[in-house]
Amino acid sequence: MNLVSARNQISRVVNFKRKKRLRTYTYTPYIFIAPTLAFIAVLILYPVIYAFVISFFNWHLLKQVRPFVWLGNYADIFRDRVFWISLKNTVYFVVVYVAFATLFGLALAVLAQRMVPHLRILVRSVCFIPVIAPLVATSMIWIWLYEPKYGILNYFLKFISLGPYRWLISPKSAMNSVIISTLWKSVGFNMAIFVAGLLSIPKMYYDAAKIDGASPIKSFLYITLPMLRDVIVFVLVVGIIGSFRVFTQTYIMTQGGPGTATKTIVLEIYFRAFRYFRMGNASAMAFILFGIILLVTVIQLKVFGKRNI
Amino acid sequence: MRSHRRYFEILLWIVGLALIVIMLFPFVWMISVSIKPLSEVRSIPPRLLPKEFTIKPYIDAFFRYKFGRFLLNSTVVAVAVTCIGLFTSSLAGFGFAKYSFRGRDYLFLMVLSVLMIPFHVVIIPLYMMMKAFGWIDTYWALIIPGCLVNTFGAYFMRQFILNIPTDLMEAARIDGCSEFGIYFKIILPLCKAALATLGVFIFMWTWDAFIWPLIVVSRESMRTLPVGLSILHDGYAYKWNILMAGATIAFIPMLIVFLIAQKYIIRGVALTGMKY
Repeated sequence: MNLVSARNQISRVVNFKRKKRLRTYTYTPYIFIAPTLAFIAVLILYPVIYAFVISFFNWHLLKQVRPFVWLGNYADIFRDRVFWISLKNTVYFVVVYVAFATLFGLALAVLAQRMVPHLRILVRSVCFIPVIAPLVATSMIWIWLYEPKYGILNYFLKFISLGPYRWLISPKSAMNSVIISTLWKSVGFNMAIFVAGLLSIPKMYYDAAKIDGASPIKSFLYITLPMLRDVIVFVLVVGIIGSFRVFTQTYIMTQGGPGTATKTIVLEIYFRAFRYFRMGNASAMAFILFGIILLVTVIQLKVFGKRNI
Repeated sequence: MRSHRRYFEILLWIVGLALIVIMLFPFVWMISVSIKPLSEVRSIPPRLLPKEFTIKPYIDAFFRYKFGRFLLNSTVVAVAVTCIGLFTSSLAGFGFAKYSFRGRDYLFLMVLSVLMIPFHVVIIPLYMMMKAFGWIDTYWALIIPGCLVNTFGAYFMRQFILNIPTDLMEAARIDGCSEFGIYFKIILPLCKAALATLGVFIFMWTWDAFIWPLIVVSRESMRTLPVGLSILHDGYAYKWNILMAGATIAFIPMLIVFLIAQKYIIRGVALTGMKY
């Protein structure tokens, strides 16, 4: 007699108790999920609708008159040169950053796995320290490392007769400098995911390949890469979705400058909403960003299939 | 073949040590700058160890530039969000995992799809709501929207609770345990590892949060560490020793959390790829 039927029998015997039991059974789960659903309703669903409505108004925070402009905000944004520049910068950041973060993450994970145990554990932990450090703090550190005249980076580069570079000061190198510091900050995150992926590959595949005389490079190409396919897709998707929202680094390090060289979309949304109080325009831009992220996600799922995401 | 392997091993050591230096050097430099007097910060050539060691930047940052207060604010907010987040997430995860009720699958699908919505879409209306509630410059504005992490938390806890055998619940029910009793006495103790992982992540996310506190806080006494650091940089961009002392103050608690909970953090990343 299993537990479920035991329970039924007991309930049948104690009839009034069963009724009570059934009643609690029906609405207790709703009580359990109620706080989370309430948070979602009040802090996401309602605001999303609100933001969508605002995006059709010329909604200035400090003005009482807020005329309905239909698609005017969207039309303005698509005619806006600064929007296209910030979109271009964001896409550049996403492509370059995600490509290198995935590549380095994988390479470092594979190399770390082949190190002697003590070194391996040390390397993995140390690479994760920048990941847990507050982004504002690390951005601040890198501003000072990048400082053209007194910064230590240019000082080191002088020894191998390079530089001095202008890093964040020059429009040409500013975005790349932001990308380098972000790579340093978060490559350990990808590395941790890849290490977990590598550990899940059965060792016997490699042993079999070794017996067949495959070189390490071949076993990487024909065992590791195919087995890590899902992990790689996952890292790419998470990386792309996350880095479309880049804000803190560009806000702290450059404020979008010099000129418009590091203006990114979220930074532009922030400026429009909370510096110039153009809430309608900023909301419309937020929805355009949302649309772009959705589109990219859908394309990725179509291309790579939706296993394990 | 043998010598090949030897070279490869040496190469691995070089790569490993270089990585450690690259990853740690910026932090070493941060601390090095933060214990120099301002006159030495811009010395050429730069020196790692100051000629004149001082902890004045820390004292200045802590008292004069209110980083003590910011540290308190960050701690209060992060602890509150973590507690509320853990409680509501585990409750919802339990409800979704162990009960069948009308609309469950649709509601769970909604929780999942809400995860796709970028925070920046709702940031403007949320700001207006906080203004309407009169919550600007209060802990409420920092804590309550932060609790949105429980959408992810509910999903995370559900996956974990699904693996707990239902027989345990049935047995407890026969013994006359209430449904809340099952949650407190059976589910929670069995979820300790998952709760620890989730808790550490919520704590670190909240500690790191920047754009939202930047928006809802304007009074100096309500700033969190990241906002305080950013505004100090706007005002005193030349005082690098104090800025670096502030960065160190913001970093040390995270480092301590990492050193204590490293196991949970790495496992959490590996299991779910939680975006940090």
